[in-house]
Amino acid sequence: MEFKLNHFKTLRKRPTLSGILLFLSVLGPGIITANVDNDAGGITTYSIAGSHFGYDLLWTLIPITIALIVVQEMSARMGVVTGKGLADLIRETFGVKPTVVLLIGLVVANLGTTAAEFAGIAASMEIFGVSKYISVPIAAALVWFVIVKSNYKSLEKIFLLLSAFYFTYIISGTLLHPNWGYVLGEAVTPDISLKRDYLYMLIGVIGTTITPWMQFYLQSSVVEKGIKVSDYRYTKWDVYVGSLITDIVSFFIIFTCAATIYASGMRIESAEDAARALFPLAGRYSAWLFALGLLNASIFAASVLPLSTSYFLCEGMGWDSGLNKRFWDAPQFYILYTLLIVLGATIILMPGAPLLTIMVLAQVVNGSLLPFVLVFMLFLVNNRKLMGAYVNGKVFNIVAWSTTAILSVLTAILVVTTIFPGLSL
Amino acid sequence: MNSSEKIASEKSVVKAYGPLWVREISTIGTDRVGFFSQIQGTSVVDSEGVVVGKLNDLSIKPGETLLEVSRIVYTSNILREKVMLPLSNVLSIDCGVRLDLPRDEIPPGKLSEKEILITETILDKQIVDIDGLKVVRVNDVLLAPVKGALCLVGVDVGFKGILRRLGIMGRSGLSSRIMGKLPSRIIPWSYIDLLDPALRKIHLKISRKTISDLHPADIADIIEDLNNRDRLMVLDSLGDETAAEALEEVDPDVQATVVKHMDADDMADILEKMDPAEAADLLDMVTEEKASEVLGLMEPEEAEDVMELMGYSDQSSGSIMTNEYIWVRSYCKVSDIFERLRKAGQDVDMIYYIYVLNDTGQLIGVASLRDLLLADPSGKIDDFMKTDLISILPTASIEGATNLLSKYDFLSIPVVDPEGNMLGIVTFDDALDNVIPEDLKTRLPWNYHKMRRARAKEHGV
Repeated sequence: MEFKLNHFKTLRKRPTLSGILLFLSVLGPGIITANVDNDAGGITTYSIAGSHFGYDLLWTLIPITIALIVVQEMSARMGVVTGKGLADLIRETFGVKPTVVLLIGLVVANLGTTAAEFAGIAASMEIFGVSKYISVPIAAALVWFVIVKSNYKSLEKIFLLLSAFYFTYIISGTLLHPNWGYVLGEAVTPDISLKRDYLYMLIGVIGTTITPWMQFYLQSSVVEKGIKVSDYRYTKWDVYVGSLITDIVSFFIIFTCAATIYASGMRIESAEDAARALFPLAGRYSAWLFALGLLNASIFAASVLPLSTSYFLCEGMGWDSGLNKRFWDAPQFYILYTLLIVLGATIILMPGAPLLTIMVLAQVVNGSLLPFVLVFMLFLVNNRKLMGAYVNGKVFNIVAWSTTAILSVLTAILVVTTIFPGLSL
Repeated sequence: MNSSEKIASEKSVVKAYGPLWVREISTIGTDRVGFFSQIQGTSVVDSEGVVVGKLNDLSIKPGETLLEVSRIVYTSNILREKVMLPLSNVLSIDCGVRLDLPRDEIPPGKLSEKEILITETILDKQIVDIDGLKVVRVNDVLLAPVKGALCLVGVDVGFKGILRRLGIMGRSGLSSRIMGKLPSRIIPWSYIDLLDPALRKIHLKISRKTISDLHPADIADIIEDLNNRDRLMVLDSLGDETAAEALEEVDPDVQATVVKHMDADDMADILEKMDPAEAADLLDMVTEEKASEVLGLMEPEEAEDVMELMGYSDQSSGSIMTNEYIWVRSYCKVSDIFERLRKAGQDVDMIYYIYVLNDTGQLIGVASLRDLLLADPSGKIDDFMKTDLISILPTASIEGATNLLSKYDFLSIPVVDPEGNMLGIVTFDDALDNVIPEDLKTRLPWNYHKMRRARAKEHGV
């Protein structure tokens, strides 16, 4: 990876104090995005991947990390260079039709994901013996009121701090005293299988790690931070660090589940089963620890998703948005925000709601949206009128386009096999 | 649909725009208006009736009072390339574009980079609605013939514009009846300020309303709505005095982002025109290096005032005090003080209190403008100034200062050091700004915008 090495050199050349301070001041968007990425769907998918397939899927994390870095770096670069959000750029460059189609897709996908977050809340509170009919409405009301009535930025810091929960997987994994040589060997050796279940899981892992929503969110955060082009190299590192954190956490969730649950030959049917991965660390309290972690991740994402989705839609459509506006000054924004939370929670509360189907469907919509978002991004990032000298280089374009192509093929398989489950590969 | 029907339907559209728009139309002297979305994509037909391509875009140039359409751009049917043609070769663009020359005689005109195209500069872009004081997005462009030229007369920023672009907005049937009920949001060209730097440079002979015509507090609202790049551009276009006044009114979080990215040069120019207390607050928001660079670029006198005020803690009265006030010596004559007020009043806001200092700069008395007016012009201020003084230390809390101001009904309160030396004053409105909760400040009377617009109409603005 040529671009990575380059920046290693620049940073090495001047490891000055002001350089470090600058890095800290632009730090944030990449790492926050990465943490929201490890949401209820993420924890569930990684847990199942480790518990049902052992170490087989560990190797995919390296190519996924590369893809994640490539894609996220483009988002961040566009934000810094153009000073505009992704919805903004798509609207201004491609016009109304593609924007409306894409944003409707994003709203539907994120409604599904929001429902999945509420499913995470329901599952984690059920471990404490609280019925979903109590926990979900309270959580929905809490999310709505807290976000509307308080300062989101300070909440974000609390959520981030609580994300330290992911370290429990790292500790739990270490306490198992695994044969590291063997584990790392597994991580770099591709185990390619063409079995349907395996492929399905593979696409699930990719789909939950690289989502369309993240690209919008990262770019907006970078714009909001107002990072200068001259400070871009530090933002790049923020993105790298964030992507690495996401995938190190994924690695440890998969590995810990593989070493505990898979090794004992069990399968995950409920949240309590998934909590067994934390047994080496927390013993009989592992279920509680897991529940708290899942609860935090779910509430964090349930707060960020509906809010940012409403922002993006309003940004693209040209409607007023923002929590500092009153309801009648930004009605579309508030209605959409409220609807996403209310519908998301209602889906989970329907008696006999097909939770699994909803979560999978959300993933399918997200998956089918991703290639389109990536293609739009690639056209935008290579548009000299917008990006000037900051268009993709040749090598980078090859990496980015092939990433897009591979992701497109994989998600196409996912979509087709979901709609026609009878098909065998 | 033939063209007479088309005009008739457009007339009914015009009626739906509301009184403001009808007035605009009548001054322009036409009622044949059409939307860009309705002609984009229609066929371009040559003089012999052969379809040569599809209308793609319009190129514009500044006209007398409006932007004039100078050329059309269409995608040719044969080569699929974009062709430009002057508007003089176009017979009509009512239903499809009809040209006045046969296909073989169309001059070769390739699209050049310099053209100002509607789709590239106006459509889908953000603009500032000067009337509604908002940043909005252009969903459609309204065109009308004015004095023989086709001009951009307004933009549609409403939901109807989006539906029309999506092709959902039918002209007949149920959908159009439902859509017809939706309110239109058309902004006449004269109420638009453009954010695109290329378009800001277009000067028309009769000036449009621009952001700089607004009250600084209204400009501040707009600035808060923009992204950082546009904020800097708008501030840059305002002139230092207005920029300073507007920036003072902006929310502190936004202020911080703005000054972080402003050039030290520009920042120095704006800060010089600003109240020193506000300037000091802004300098506290940037790095020490940048702050000292900015101070170095400012006029030494102004810089000194600002430096005195920096470094007071956030919650203390010192942080909101200003050192722009009127002071005199005790032996000054009333008539001389009036002279002084006339001169200093240009720069100093608080001219309602006159503070009296001794040789060493200690505060010894105060008189109000009222006292001064009622006093004998030949008398000395010493004769009637109040000497039982109420003052605060710079370390006093803002709440404390506000309570004193409210208790004694003062407009400002002097700030002195422990030795009694005058440092500055805290005015009532600065104190109020700091104690009103943030969310209360954004609340305006519910009919504020209505009243504002009604007032503007009365004055014919």
